[in-house]
This record gives sequence, structure tokens and C-alpha cells, in this order.
Amino acid sequence: MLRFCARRIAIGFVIVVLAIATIYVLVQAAPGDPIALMLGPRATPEMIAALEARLGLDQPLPVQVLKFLIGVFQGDLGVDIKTKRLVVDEVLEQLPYTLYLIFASLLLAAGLGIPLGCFSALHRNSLVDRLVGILSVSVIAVPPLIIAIYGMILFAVHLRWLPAIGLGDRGDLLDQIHHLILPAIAVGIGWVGYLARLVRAAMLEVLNEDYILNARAFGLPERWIIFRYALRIAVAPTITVLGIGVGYMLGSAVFAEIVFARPGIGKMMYDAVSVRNYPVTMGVVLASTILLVASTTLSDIINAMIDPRIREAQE
Amino acid sequence: MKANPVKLLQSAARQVFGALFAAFLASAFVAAPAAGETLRVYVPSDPASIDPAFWGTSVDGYLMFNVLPRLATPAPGNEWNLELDVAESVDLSDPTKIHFTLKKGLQWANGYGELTAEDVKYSYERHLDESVGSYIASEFDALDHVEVTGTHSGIIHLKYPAVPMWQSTLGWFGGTIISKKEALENGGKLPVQPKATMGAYTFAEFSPGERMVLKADPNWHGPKPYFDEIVLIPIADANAAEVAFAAGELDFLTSTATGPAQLRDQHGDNAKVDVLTSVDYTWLGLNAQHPSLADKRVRKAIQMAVDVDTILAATFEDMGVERATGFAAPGMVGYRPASKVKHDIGAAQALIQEAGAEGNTIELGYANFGSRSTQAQIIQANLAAIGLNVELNAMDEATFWDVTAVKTPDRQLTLKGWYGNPEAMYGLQYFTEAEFEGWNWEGFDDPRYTELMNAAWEVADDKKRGDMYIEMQDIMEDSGSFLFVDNAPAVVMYKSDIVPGLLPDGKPMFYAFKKK
Repeated sequence: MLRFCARRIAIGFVIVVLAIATIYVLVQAAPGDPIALMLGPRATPEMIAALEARLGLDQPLPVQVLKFLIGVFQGDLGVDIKTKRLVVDEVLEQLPYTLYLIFASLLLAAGLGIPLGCFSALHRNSLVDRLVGILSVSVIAVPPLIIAIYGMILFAVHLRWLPAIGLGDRGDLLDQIHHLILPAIAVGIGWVGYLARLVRAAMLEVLNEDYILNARAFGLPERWIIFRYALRIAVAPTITVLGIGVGYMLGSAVFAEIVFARPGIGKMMYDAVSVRNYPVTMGVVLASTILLVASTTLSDIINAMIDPRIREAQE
Repeated sequence: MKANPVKLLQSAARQVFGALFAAFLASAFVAAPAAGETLRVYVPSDPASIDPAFWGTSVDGYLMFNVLPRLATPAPGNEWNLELDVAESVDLSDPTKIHFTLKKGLQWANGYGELTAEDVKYSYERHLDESVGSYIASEFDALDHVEVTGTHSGIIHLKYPAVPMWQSTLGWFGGTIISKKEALENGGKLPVQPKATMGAYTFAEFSPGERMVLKADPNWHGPKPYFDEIVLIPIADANAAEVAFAAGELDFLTSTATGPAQLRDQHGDNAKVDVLTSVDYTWLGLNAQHPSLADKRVRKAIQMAVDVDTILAATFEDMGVERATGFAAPGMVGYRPASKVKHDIGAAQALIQEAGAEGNTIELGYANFGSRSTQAQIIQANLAAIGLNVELNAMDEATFWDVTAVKTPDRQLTLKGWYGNPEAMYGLQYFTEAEFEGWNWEGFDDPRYTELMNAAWEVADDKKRGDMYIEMQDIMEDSGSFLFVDNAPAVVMYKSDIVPGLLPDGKPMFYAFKKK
């Protein structure tokens, strides 16, 4: 198992380095000049050249990429060209807010999606199963942005049950949870439906396996069969999907942070890309790449722990 | 006894979900905090830097006007007026020497000492220091040096007469004075949240992406502001800000996504919506240096063919926005009461035929945000009516403004807007041959214009200088290289029990806000 984990982490590391180098080149290759935006119409050619030199943008691209990678390993992501603050400080300041949001969305997705899928499978073709099926497809189909806007209008404007914007009071956990509910629903509700469909299909397949029929023949309690044997196997693809889902949720977090006026790396990325703030863009991309690779690696490891066949196949 | 893992799991899950459900129920009924004497303001972004050498966003501007001083500063109201801020007196009678005396005993916040003429000297001269790398160095091109004649007095020496500089730079963001002591402590720059403030408010808290809190500064030399606390809340999407306003979580919106009539309908008596005219300007530039537009008849035909009124109606609907007449907005020195260009398709068609330009293809470049695309499509349709094919080239802002990638000779039609200033010279000064490689994308060069511009720098009399600006803008328009479109309106919305203190273009001066 240790060798399996080490191999997955090593692959993850290589992916991060390759992804970062590729994205650095893409970001630099995009048309648009941050210097012109920063200095505005009053910039002289000398001012432009001086700022380019200060930011290292006058050097060949391979040198810039190498310097950036060396900087990453030294914990130096450069300086925000607008605020003049260290990018690493800014990213570490904002990252937790995005992680809270993704964690809350994952909790919602898994906490509702898995039991609903399980329930549907155990009550196949019942009215509840059909209802869950319709609702699942509906929430998958509706864009998260629509859910966010209408959620705000309903719960914040008309009913005034939930706040529309912000993080909530510092030091008041209850208030912060209160502020997290709408954004988490906007980001995670589609995944509830997706996971419900996935778990239902996986459970139906597993429940027809010979070893489940055997267990039933031996008279094991139904609850024991479902939780101990069936769900454990059926949930494996769900864990893989959730690992990848973190990446999609990062994408959704961008709009959720914008609409709900929450800090986070999604909003940071949006602001940085629009003004070609290269150091911040790369800092956020690095953080999100690491997050995505970490979540997929973790889901692989959890799957290997749950299902020895995966571990054996890799080894 | 061995624990049953399934039961343990189920029990834990029940406890977790039970706790979360309880938290949800409890939190859903927590009352919203009372607003009290706090003003909650929507701003489109976080501040980037309120250092006058490096400011970049509208929010930076709001903050500079509310937490840092100038010798004189714009006064809230419907007209552009400068009022003395930390200066007790200013003598503008000599066109190359500005004598100033500071009010005595003004203290920087957080123990940074008294404001002295040394702070003024440092604040202005640093823009000329290449090691600082001020983004607005060119605004101080006329500055020679500041002579300190006493603790509270000094003389600003100019290299050449530059009368407009008093309003355009020293009485605007560029003239913001900072604490020399704090800047030197930070390597010559102000931090994002400086401690040494001097204004009605000072910084209390900054949480990037979430909020910035200003507290009334008890040491301020002016009258105590009504609101003890200003909370600036950055929201990237103006629609979301409107929803938050409707939810009662904001008191003042510095801009809106929805038109004023619709906002008034939606909010009824709960909100007031004002439409103000900004000092920014949008115009269609026609590059006289490009072969496709070198013939003045083609440029004049385009001027006449473009239906500016339709563009305004499509862009601003019910706001009653009038077409811009130049780089001076209504109320500014040099405002032209009317444009001389009349929309006339027949005359435009005749000119195009005379010039033999029928069927020609021209590129129209613009930064694709807000309603620019709509405006560009109307221009495309208007020019199709006179036989010109227009290829639209929509770019994101960073690409559009990239002067290093596209040089002036390669630009054709450009639809663009610049941030303005209450002094028209701020924008007018760029339309010379020297700016062909920079910001004169119209390739405009006129000897009479340049003569007037050079002379206007020395004219202190507003009426005389204004007449010169009017003639300069006449020349611009007559060249066929400029079609002035709009001075973008500023729409602000606020709760009906608030009386805002705004500059004529809608910039908030928080110390002047009150409640009914």
C-alpha cells in the first residue's frame, strides 16, 4: 500500500510541474499587455520598458518558466503587480475560503446524493425512485449560476432567511455557516443529482452480484449486506468522481465567489486574468492544480484502501 | 465487547447531520445586524493601491479622496469646484510658482506626526524619481521642484506655465499628499492599507475580497461625519450587488447594471436612483494615417453616417444621456454646447462615392465589455448603409490597450473610452504628433490645435482657456478623426433615507453623506 501511495504522489508531482509549465506558457502567449493596463494612457516607452524589466517580462520565455518553477520550489511566487504584496501570502490568505466552500459543497453532494441514490436503488421503480430520478436530472440540468441568482432572490430578498453576500462575522461560526448555505447549494446541488444517479446505478449492479445473493442466502441481515458489502463497493466510483469533481467545483467557485461576494481564489483568478496580473494568475493556477491533483490522488488512495483489487492491479 | 463499525458509522452520521441541521435552523433565524451609523457601500473591486503613484481602480480613487489629503480637493455638489483641504492659502497668481501655506497642527493618524511642507515636497517630487516608477510621472512633467520655505509653507516651482495642472493633477488623485515618514518606512511606497491617513476616515480593517472598513477619524480637521463607519464591500457582478441591495445588505451602490427606470420600479419608495454625468468620454476614433481613412471625405462621411442618437438610445435607454461634444463634459471649463456633426446618410453616401470608397472594408476595434459590442454593431450597420463594410474586432481590455502590439499606423476605427478629469487638458494634451507611437490613435496633427494647446497651459482665466479648448475640440471634430459619443453616465442607487455627498460625476465623498 505504501508503494502504491508513493507512486501516486510521484505521478501527481510530475503532473503539477508539467501543468504549471504549460499554463505559464499559455498565459504569457495570450494577447494583451499588463504593463499598458497598469500604466494607462500616460505611460512613456521608458516607463513601459522599466516596468517590464522589473517584472522580468523582458526575458526569453523558457528563462521565465524556469525562474518561475525555481521560485515555486522556494515558496516564491513573485509579487502582485497591482497591490505589491507577495502572491504566496495573498493565495494562502484566500485559499481557505475556497476550501470551506468546496468542502461544504462536497458535504452537501455526498450527504444527500449517496443516501438518495442508495434509497432509490433499494426501492427501484417505486414512486420515490422515479421522483428522485426526475429531481436529480433537473438539478444536473440547471446551471449553477441560475440556482445562485434565484436562490438569492428567493431566500435572501423575499424570505430573508439567508444572507445574500459576504462571509459572516469573524469569530461567529454560526453566522459563517449561515453565509455558506446559499453558495454551497449553488455549487453542490448539481452534484447531489449526479451522485444520486451514479450511486443508484452502481448499487443496482452490485446488488445483483453473486456474493450479495450468497450473503442473502446465508441469512445475513439486509442492513449488514447493504452497508458492509454492497455500498462499500458501489461507492468506489463515487469517490473517484468526487476527486475529479473538486476541479469542477473550483470552476463553479469562481462564479459563486463573484455572485455571493465571498473572498477566495476563484474570484482572485477572475480579477487577475482580466488585467493580465501574471504573478497572481500563476499563483492561483498553481494552488488549484495542486488541489485538483491532491484530490484525485487522495480518491485513488481511498479507493485502493476500500477495494484491494485496485491496489493489486496497480502493483 | 467489539464495536459494530456499521452502527458506529450510522451513529456518527446521525450526529453530524443532526448538528448541521440544527445549525442551519438556528442560523436561518439569526437577525441581521442593525445598520446603526454604518454605511455599507458596494464597490466593484478591492482597492489595489491608494498610493497616488500607483493607483489603478475607481475604488482607489474613492479611498484617496476620503482618507488622504490634498492642498485642495473637489467639493461635493453639482458643479466642479475645488475647496482648500489642508492648505490654509494658495497663491496661483504666478503661472510658474504656486505658493502654499498649510493649516497648522494637522496630525497624521497613528502617531506619524504633523503634516509639514516636507510631506508636500516628498509627495510631489517622488513622481519625478525614476527609482519610484510612478505610473503618473507624466502628470508631473511640468514640475521642477518644491521649495520648502517654512514648516508649513512652500513654493511649487514649475518648469513652464501649466495652469491646468492645479485642477487636473494637484486637485485630483495625483495631488494626494502622503506621509513622508510612512512612505520611507515602506521603501518609498504606501502599503495597501496605510496607517498615516489624514481625512474624515481612517482604515480599520481590510479583508481582501470581503470588505474594507473605514472608521471616522476623531482627529480630522473638518466637521464630524454623520456615519461612524463605512464598509466597502467588493462585488464583481453589479447584478449581484443589486440583489444584495434588495436584500437590505447594502445602503449605497456606486454603479448599477440595471437602468434607472427599472430600478425605480423595482425598489419604489425604498430607494433613490440618481443619474450623473461622468467626466469620462467615449468616442469613435478614425485614424487619418491609415490608407483606408486617409481621405478626409471618407472620415467625414463616417462621421455623418453614424447615428449617435441611436447608439445612446440603445446603450443608455431611459437615462436621458446626451451626446458628448468633446473631452470636456457638461459643467467643465471648455464644454462645447453642441456638436457640429449632423447625421445625414444622403450626404455621407455622396461623399463616399466622390471619394471612390464604396465597397471598401474597414476594421473597427474595441474592448468588449458592457455595451461596447452593441455600439459597434450599430456603427457597422450605419456604415453598411453608405457602402462601407466594417469588420468588428472585439478584444478584451488588456489586448485592446496593448500599444506595444498594435502601432497607431495599423489602427483604423477604434471605439474607446478614457477616464477623464474635471480639467479637459488632461485628455486634450495627447493629440500631437509626438503621441503617434503612443495614444494618438487618430493620427491627428493640426498646427493650430498644437498652438492653442501650448498657449492654454499659460491661461489662468477659465473663460479664455475654455474658449481655447472649445476651438481645439472644433478642430478635432472638423478633422473628421473624432466622433464624440458619450460622457458615460454614472448611476448611483441608495436607500431613500440617505442623503449622499457626491461629486458631480457620482464619486462618493463619504464625509458628506447624511441620513434624513
